[in-house]
Amino acid sequence: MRPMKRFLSSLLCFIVFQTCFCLYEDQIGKFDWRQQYVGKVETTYWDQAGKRILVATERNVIASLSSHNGSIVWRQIFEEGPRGQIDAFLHQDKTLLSVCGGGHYIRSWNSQTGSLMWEAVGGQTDNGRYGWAIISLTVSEQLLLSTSDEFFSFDVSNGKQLWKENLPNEDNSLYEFIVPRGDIIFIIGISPGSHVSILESNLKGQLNSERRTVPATWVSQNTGCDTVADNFLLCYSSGSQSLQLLDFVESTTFVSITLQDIGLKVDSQVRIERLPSSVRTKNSYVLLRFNPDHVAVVRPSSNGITLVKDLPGVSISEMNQLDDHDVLLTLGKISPEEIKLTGYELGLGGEMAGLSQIIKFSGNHGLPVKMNALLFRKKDGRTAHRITMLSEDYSLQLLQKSGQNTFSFPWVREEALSHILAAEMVDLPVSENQAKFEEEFGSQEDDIITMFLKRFSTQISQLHTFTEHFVHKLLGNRHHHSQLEEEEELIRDEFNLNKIIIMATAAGKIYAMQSWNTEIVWQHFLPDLSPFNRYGEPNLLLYTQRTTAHFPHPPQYVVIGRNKKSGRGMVFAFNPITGEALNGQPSSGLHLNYELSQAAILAEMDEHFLKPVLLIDTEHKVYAFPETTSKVIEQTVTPLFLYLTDIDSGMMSGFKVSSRNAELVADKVWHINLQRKQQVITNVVGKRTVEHVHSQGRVLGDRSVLYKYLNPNLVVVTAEGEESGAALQKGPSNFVNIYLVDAITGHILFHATHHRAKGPINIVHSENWIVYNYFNQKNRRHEIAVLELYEGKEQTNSTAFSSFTAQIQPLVMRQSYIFPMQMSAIATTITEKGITNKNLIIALKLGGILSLPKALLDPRRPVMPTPETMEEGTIPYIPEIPVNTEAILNYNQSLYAVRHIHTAPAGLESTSLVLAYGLDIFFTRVTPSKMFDVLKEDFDYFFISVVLGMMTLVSFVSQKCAQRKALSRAWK
Amino acid sequence: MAAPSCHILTGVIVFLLYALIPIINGSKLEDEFEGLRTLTVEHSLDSGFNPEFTKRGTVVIRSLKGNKAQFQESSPFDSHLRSKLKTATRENGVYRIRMPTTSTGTLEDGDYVSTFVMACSVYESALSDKLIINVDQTGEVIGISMTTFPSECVGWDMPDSDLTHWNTTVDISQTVQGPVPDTQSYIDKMKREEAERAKGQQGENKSFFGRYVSTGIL
Repeated sequence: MRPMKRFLSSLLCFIVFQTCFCLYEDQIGKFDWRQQYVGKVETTYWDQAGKRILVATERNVIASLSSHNGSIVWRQIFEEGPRGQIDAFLHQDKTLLSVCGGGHYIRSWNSQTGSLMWEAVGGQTDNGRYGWAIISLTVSEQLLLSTSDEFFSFDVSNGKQLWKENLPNEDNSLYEFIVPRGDIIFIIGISPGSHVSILESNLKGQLNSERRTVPATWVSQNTGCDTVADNFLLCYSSGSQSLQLLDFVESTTFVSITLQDIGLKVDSQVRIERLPSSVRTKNSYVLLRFNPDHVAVVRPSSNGITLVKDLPGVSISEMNQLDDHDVLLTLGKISPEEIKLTGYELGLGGEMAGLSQIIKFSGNHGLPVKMNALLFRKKDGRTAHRITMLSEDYSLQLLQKSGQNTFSFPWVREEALSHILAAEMVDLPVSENQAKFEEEFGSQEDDIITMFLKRFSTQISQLHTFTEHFVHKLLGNRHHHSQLEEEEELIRDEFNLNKIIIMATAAGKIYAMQSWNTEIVWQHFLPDLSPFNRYGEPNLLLYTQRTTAHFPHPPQYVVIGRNKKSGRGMVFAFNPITGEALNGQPSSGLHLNYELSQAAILAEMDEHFLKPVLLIDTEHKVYAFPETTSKVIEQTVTPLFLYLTDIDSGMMSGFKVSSRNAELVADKVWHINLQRKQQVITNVVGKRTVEHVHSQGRVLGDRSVLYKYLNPNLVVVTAEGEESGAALQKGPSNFVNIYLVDAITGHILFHATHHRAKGPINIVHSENWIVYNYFNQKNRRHEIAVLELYEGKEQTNSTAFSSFTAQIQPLVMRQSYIFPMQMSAIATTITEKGITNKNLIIALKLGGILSLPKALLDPRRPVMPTPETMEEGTIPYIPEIPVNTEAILNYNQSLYAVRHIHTAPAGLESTSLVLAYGLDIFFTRVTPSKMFDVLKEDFDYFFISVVLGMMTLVSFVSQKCAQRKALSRAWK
Repeated sequence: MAAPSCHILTGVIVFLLYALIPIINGSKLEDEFEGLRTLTVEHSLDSGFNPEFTKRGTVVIRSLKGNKAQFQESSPFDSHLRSKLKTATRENGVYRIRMPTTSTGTLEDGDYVSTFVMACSVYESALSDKLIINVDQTGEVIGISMTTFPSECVGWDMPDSDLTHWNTTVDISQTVQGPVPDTQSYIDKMKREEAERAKGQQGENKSFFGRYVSTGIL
């Protein structure tokens, strides 16, 4: 009977822990939302006579957008990384083709529904290298595909491979162009530093045996070239600052034409804007770009190149056709808030009145970068225009005529939101009255009389607002002040559940979004801001310098990045509620005159409650931001320490910050060598500074306490490498090493290795535990491991932790589990006081966001449960972590390509807010220990109060009765 | 006659065995850990960018797995160092040590691993400390750390006589195997439970009627 009982109890335990979160049907969308994006658009096509826009993006997505409101009609997501990278995207008539992974996957789509018509495999990817591919369609519906060394043809209707030819590649030719010209296909390759080679083939794939080479010693890998019409190749040679034109059908030499020859006076470098291959052969104009806001249109012909139009002040221009006329459309910014659209009829020469206009354009989008116009005549003979416009901030907008003769942007897609690199949730400011309270009790210098006056005025204003509210209530909705309501909107709610989400994106744009209705409160574009490159991933830093809690002072956040042009540091401090720049900065951010190697925020505050940010340059000089806070650093009693990780050398070093000659300098004090020869550092993860740990220890079954090792200076470092003796074993053999390093002393507390394991590794580091995942190559499965650190049954120092006096070798408990799915990000919930249990939030590659109780990942889970472990409440060990569908937070709203999960505490202790971002954004609340501090929504107040009332009544009546009875008994 | 020769023979064998055992052990050691390893430890009490390091002693590692290593002092802690230590303690300075990870060629900054403690804790511990050398799975030194006994600074004054010799112990911390899912013991447990259940069922494998008979109802 005992094992049965044990089994039942374990099952019960399991069920209790498992059903901690799920959603009723009517709760869908109540506090969660998802926003879908496509990513930075690379190519656009018009479809269905202007009703749809087909796009291919940098986030490996192809999609169809409705031109009516910009919503996604359908969307197809390819694999992340080079495997899914879109090499070519082609739309012609009814055909929609995409090529991914260096010419490996060729897919044909139904452009209306987005369903896959056929899929074919082209060029092989050898040893993980991905080249590129170009495609072209011939008149006879033949798809031509060329990779670095092969040339294919496919039947567009069914994807059958018609033929395949090897391209001669002994001279390192990069075949970049295919030009079908009648029955002949020209394939043009570039050999950097030597020549351009031209191959001819017929439609049956028979290569003309002789290959023509045209000497071109100036050509390099970065030379911009494009084919024009079906017989010209135009390149720009940056060495001689001249355009090189080749008629590859008839001529055998390049004709060199300097810019001065065609009447252009430009000093800057020239870029040739490439056109999509489907329009390239029809087009006989070339767009030259000198600057982000200066372009020129030239036309090559057999006599040379003629300048069609020099367009200073224009950011983009495009050739289009209307009634067999060539129309040149240009867009340029003329003031921070206006752009000018101009249309030229090239045959006739003049500006087109109906197409030239100045349009209001928000300064938060930067300069326009790409446009794609659709011009057509309506049935009534009037022209209609639709223009998609991509801006510097990755936003995609539609420009169209609204009303009589004015252009406007009916919608905008903020695609930078699919490139979020850092996010934070900001508490909303408290209401005016509460703020006054703060003011009243906040300052310490006031004497008794001023304090009394303050209290008096506060109470009067409270009374005032109360009566105002009361009057409003009485008057009902008749006096509906929308202005008043707007002001009220940005005020903290009762449980501090509504936040403003600050998101810093790779485009250099910062957004503030209301967490309750996805409305963007403000956006700010910093044209020069670009991310750091951290372990191969782009990264921006976002720090909270001052929260909303210090009332008269505005809250302050800071974004730290790199200047796009100079590569030096860039800092932008702002008020997260309004988006205004703070500290007297320019709104384009503060440009530092040094390169950054590390940045950190201190826990100490200055007299204005501002936490200084330390910036360390590449020469280990330390700067404080803002500079006024450097005093705080000098005055801190305990010395400051910093650490740096150099991935190129595999070294980690620690620095002690001290002030010398009124300058802050960092002295190297420790150094560890993580063997760059064998492995590469892939992660360095510290703890979150906002985290609170409620319980110092864990009560065991025998009522003794196991104290947690809570080192705030602990960082987790992982490194990955290939086993040197790989030949001995079958198959690939990698290893993963994990190190726990004290960042103050450089002491390695623990180091472990996983043989035959591989990343990518995601790490959660919180309280006294670390959870990480890896791929087990031996058993070909994903595994998730947990490390927990304990000091033991005695605590060394219960009040403050110091890395100098801490235990050298804490107890490291560890266990590993099989995780049945691949994951792309992990995070842990965080609550106000840290009392609530922790859940792990795991983004699955399949699209789910799983909420997993931490209790399942507990190294104290016993293989053989004993009464003592049952008393402690640990779940018996089962090697596999179950993925319960009820614990999927986003139910059917799948999320793909999730990059990161951010969690933030709400005002309610039970609740943690979760924001998952990547391609899409998803926001929800989780309650790992259920809603223990809130009554349920369906709580029956009426019933309870009736019962209570009845009870009181009954007790009252019975008391009376009892009294009477007692009295009568006494008389007897 | 036969008995003494026999004794001599066994004596010889025993002697040979005794003589051989250390050799066998020694070769085994060499096989695994490339013999004895000697690592130099240098120290410095300077502050600033380029502190000057002097030799403190050597660490002799006898066995990595057995965690057997010793520290050998190269020279006693002289009065010059003592005064430096006192100054550093007053100025809240640091005491640094470093160890070269390679022995060939000229040593650059990257060829060392280093660590530090506050100078006051060295002073107040009367030079008793512990070095922890972290070694990875291939035997390379990846880091060194140091702690003193006691590690806290209280502000004691130490007599010079206590500050003459290092009292150092050395710990070797080698990379351990990361955790792996324990499927085997789980399967064993399941099997055992299955077997127990089967046993339990066998015991109850009686007819409906028979069960009542055995319990004595009938």
